[in-house]
Amino acid sequence: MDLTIVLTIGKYALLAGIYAFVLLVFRGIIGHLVAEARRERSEAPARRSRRAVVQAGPGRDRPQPAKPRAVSEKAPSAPAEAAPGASSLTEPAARATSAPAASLSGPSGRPGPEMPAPPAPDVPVAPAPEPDKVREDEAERRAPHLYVVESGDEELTDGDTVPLSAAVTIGRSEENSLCLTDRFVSSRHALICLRDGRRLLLDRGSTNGTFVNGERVDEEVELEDGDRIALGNTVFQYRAG
Amino acid sequence: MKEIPEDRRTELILLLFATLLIGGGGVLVCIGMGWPLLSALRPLTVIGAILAGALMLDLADSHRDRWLLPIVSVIAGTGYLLLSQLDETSASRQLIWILMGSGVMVATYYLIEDIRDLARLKYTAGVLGIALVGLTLAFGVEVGGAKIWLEIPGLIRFQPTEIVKILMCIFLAGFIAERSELMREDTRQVAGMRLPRLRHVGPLVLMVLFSLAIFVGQRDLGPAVLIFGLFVTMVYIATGRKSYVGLASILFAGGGVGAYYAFPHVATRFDMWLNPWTEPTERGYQILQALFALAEGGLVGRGFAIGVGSTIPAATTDLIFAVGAQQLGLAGAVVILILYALATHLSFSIAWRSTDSFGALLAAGLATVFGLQTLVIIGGVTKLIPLTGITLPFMSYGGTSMIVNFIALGLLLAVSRDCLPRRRQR
Repeated sequence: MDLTIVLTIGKYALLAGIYAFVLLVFRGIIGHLVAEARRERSEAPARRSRRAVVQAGPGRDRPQPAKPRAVSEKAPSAPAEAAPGASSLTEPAARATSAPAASLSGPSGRPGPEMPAPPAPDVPVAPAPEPDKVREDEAERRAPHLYVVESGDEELTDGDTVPLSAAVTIGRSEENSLCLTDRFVSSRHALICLRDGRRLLLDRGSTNGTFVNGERVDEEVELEDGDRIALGNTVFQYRAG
Repeated sequence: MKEIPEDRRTELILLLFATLLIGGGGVLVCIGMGWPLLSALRPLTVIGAILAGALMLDLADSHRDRWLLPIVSVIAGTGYLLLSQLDETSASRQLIWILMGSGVMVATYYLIEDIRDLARLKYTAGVLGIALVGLTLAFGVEVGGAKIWLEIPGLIRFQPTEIVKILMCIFLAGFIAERSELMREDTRQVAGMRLPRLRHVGPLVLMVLFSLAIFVGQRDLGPAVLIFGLFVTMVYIATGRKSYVGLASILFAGGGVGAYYAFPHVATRFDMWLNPWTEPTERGYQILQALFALAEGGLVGRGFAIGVGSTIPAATTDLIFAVGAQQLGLAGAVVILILYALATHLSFSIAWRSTDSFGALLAAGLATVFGLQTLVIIGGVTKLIPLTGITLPFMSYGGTSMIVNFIALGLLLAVSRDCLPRRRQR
């Protein structure tokens, strides 16, 4: 057979092969995406607890995974993202185990559901309850945080605390690190951040304004220990720790 | 025997498919070039190296991305097939680079126990990157007009700019991950635009300006464009503010005009992009040969070994895409582009799904470098944009480039291992 014919046929075969390869990869990826979307939908009810960034206040038991440190990052951060994955598949189990745990912890007010759902060996998040966990929580209470004086939010309750990282955005939209359901809060309402060691509150052009000790914040204001921050129907007290 | 999980099986099937493809291609090249059929084993070694790498990556923990390696193996295999026809010594060296690269990828994957630890090394990476380009500027060896090589006599010779890409990715990801919210929200109005305060971005801007200045000093504008694009993309990803992109585009346009008047070789590239026919045998030679090769390829190409691009300058490195298009035609060129697009998409998808902000930014940065590099050189070869000397990842001949790309691949896989949400096993 002529060499050129072999080469030409081979060339077409090779091209067809590479296209088939690409098609296989496409099919695989799309199948993967579909499976992921399906899983996401089945997990949708569990998503509500995703913005659990607050610590339950004293004397309150709430059967909901509260991850205190999650506030330091945006919503899809490690603990917050993986937490529903852990809890959703074993949702009833988690509810069942966490409710008594929470009521047991009673007055001490530790967020009971910190406990991982029992059969989750592969999930890296939900840390096993360590002995020094309590001490850690204590340390967090001494760290700078917001104390909820009055809540216009569905999930925040008076007496809760919200730990503050270097920058915490507050607003109604999901992209905020502290997302409030309060309808008088703008979707991008305020930012509390550290600058040169000073804790500042910046208003991000909210409709109804942010008030510190009753005065409307013009652009930015330095926070001091004990300041009362009001936005919408929610009132926080800033505690430097 | 233990049952192989489904995603792992997919990867193995795809890699075996790639073996078939590249093996077949190797046989074609051997027939065409009149080599003994045993030479077809050499392109197979390329896939073998990556397949072995994939198997070694599975020794410890099998949770990672499953699509990148097969795609890269097809790209690298095709690149080797083209290269082997052009220059035999380069080809055998490239084979060694690929083998080493696969090993380095596995080493990177295992040496980094948790990719998030890498965030602590951000300043080290930044300073090291600048030191490397600085050293090149001071002690660099000049090869072919550009002073982009660094040599330790008798030991190794490498291109630091390739390594700097990754170091800059680590630095930018670590730096921005720490303060993306500050950069987004703690802003100041300047001339109607909301810009972040200098104290949040100062070191960032300084580092980037410095590296840009050094690259410009080296007259090596390809990497400068790359680093600048990386910087802008990462800031945009972190803050989501389009005004930065607008500002950067204006700066880029200004810098481009400035470079046109300041550097004659930039002016050459630009003039020859506008009209290569003014000097078809001198300054326009390179781009015209590339265009001729594309034209010769036509719809389905000349086929292996028939149209060997010996007249194309820098055929083994920068213009290898033109050789591919010559031999496999538009059909082949498009499928190569699809493979690159898929690899870029998959890298960005690792970033997108990552649960850790550093991991996400690192993956996004590596994806940006990969995609941008492909875009800049293929755009240059096809005369969509002015031609810039830069390698085509995983295809061009070049030791540093190949190994660095494998390191980047190892980092991406490590991100996919550490930062993607895990599914529970049934």
